[in-house]
Amino acid sequence: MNFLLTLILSLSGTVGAHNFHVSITNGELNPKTETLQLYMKVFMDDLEDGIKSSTNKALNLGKPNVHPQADTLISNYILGHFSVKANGKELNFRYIGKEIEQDIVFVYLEVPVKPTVKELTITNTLFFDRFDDQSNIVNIEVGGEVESAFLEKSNPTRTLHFD
Amino acid sequence: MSAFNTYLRLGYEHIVNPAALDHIIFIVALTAVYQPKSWLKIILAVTFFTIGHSLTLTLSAFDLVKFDKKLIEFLIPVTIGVTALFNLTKAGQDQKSKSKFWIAGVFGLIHGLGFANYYGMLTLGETKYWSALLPFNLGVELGQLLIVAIILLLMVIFQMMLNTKSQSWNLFFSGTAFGLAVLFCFQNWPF
Repeated sequence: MNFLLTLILSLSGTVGAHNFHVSITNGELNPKTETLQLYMKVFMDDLEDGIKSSTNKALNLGKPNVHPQADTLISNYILGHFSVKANGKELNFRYIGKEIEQDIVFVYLEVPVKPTVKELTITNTLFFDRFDDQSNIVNIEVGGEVESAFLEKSNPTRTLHFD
Repeated sequence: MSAFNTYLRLGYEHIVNPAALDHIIFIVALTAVYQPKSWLKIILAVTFFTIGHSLTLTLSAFDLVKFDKKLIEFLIPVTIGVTALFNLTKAGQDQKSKSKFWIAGVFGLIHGLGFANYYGMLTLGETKYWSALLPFNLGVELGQLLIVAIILLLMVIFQMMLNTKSQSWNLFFSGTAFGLAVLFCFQNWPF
């Protein structure tokens, strides 16, 4: 009986709230500049909580007392969880900046990639340590073809193929 | 995989998920009074729920409605409790009555508001307003239809094969839904 009650209470801890644990990354390979340009959409509270628990620093995004190193903290945190390999070689992303719209933070990233790339291996473990039901979606367009990866805790890496 | 399929899966898993218990229990409460032969009415009731749900979602995406999140999270289990209690009344058990459709639609409006805060994730920065939203909502509907299919299967087993009275079925599931709803109400108490 105690077990049942515990089960119900732990299940219902998330009920009513029915939280939506997801991040979405959209990217495009620009053939002119030969760069892969990405923006990642994350919920502001998830990002703030994640950075707080790993660095003990409060970002206070969108507030007057925003952390002076907010960009560095975000860049380190995001790039610590997100990586892409092109034809088996790890890419070194450059953090371009961030934008805040409503309660969502847009994080902009960029890296040089040859437009002839045939394979991109995406890993995105963002918030997997915080939520069991976190899903990270990554959509990438190369030469007009969009390929999409649905990443979750049990399956954090996926290779996208472009013809 | 195409982006369409990714968002379809996201919507489906949003419903077929232990964290979606509030959604699932509401569907159980909504359908508890029906018999397997009324399957079309069950699907209709759930579809009215989806319509209400989508309506407030869309309105809130355009910033036309804004509500206190804590209040909505409290009201969602209230709608489950009210639906379960209504199942005990004569009107609630009337198989021909359209009241269930109204309840589904109106309470769907409230459930939609519960998700409104997350809606920007699917619309902001997307190339087209519907590009992520449409497959996501289709996935939600697929998930709901799966739950309805499971309920119908259980109904057939219990009511038609094991001769459980539909009255007992109704009491069992309305009671379960009401009990959980009371629990969720206390957990989401906003006052």
